[in-house]
Amino acid sequence: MKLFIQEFDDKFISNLSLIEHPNIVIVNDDISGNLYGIHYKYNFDTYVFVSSLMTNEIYQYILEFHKSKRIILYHDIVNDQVLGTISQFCINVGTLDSNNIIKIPTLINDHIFFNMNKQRSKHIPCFIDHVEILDEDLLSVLYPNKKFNIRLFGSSLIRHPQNIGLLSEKDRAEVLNSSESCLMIDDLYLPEVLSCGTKILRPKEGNLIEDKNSIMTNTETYAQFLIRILQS
Amino acid sequence: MIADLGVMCIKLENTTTSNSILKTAKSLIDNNPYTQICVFNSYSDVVNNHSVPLLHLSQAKFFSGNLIIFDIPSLILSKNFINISNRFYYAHETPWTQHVMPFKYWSDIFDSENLSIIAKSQQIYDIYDICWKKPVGISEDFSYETIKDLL
Repeated sequence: MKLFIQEFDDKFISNLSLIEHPNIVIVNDDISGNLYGIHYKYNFDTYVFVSSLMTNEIYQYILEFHKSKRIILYHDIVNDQVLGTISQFCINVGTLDSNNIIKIPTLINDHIFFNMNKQRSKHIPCFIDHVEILDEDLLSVLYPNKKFNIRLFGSSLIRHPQNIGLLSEKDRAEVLNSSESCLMIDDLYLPEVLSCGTKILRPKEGNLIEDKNSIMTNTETYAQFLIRILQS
Repeated sequence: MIADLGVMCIKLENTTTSNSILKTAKSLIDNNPYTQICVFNSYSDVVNNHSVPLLHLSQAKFFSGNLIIFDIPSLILSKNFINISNRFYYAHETPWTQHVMPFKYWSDIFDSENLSIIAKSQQIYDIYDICWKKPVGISEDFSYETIKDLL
């Protein structure tokens, strides 16, 4: 299977692009005006598009080729224009609760996120790529309120001296494997943190509380999920 | 006695900071007569006002001893200088807050074993201590008195 994934900085799309499977060839790239060029040059059999990046070009492409190509539409946002129209020609996946959308379960790329048994440092990573503002509990454990060795990762929006850069998924696995514990503001990266054998800390009123209750729920790999939705 | 020391300055302008760096270099030379100390710079008129030995920047890679560094390009350049024992970075800012880059970029610069940090202020000291490594000390004005015990 030859799969083309529209480039998008998001946990699901980034991990989907890193699938390693003997029968799947994946290309992840920007489209911007070149979708038909990609179609005629490389002839992929499956395409993954992102709802928030929908353009007239993609819209037209889906209308034209939905019978000969498998098209997966990832609903990262509620886009009424998409949901009511061309979504009927696609395999719809997302985190939204809707009858026509296959809900993305807890997924992990287990060939990237595993315990590498490396030496671990005092630094505490905290992933903030999916938030736009830092909440009170998190701010209460950051400088200048506290001097914990917390490193914030992944946000280009938040200006804070502890926000020290962007991470790829492979870098995230490296960071988790080189840290004793990880500060979590929600459960988005819970499977990755647990798979790397990293302790979980939660911010609470200026302190870091160890969370021993979070456990790995049933997880699927991204490759298993992709094959399942294509066969459904 | 301090180790042989190179002061690496890509830019030297007629500013308080540049003059302070050169003045401190001169004091280090005067107070350590048996140590080889020089400034590495491509060209600057400001150096003429201070009696310090000057070598071209391109010679820094052949220097054997410690280096004092003031900016990110110098940190990147000097990373592969094989004769340098220790690099002292005078941290006066947090560059990762000004330029959003991949973590690997900053990690390659600051997670370096032969790098010591001298902070300009208590705030800079705290942030480098939290994010990277504990600085060796604080020098607000890069004067000889505040630097001499840190090298």
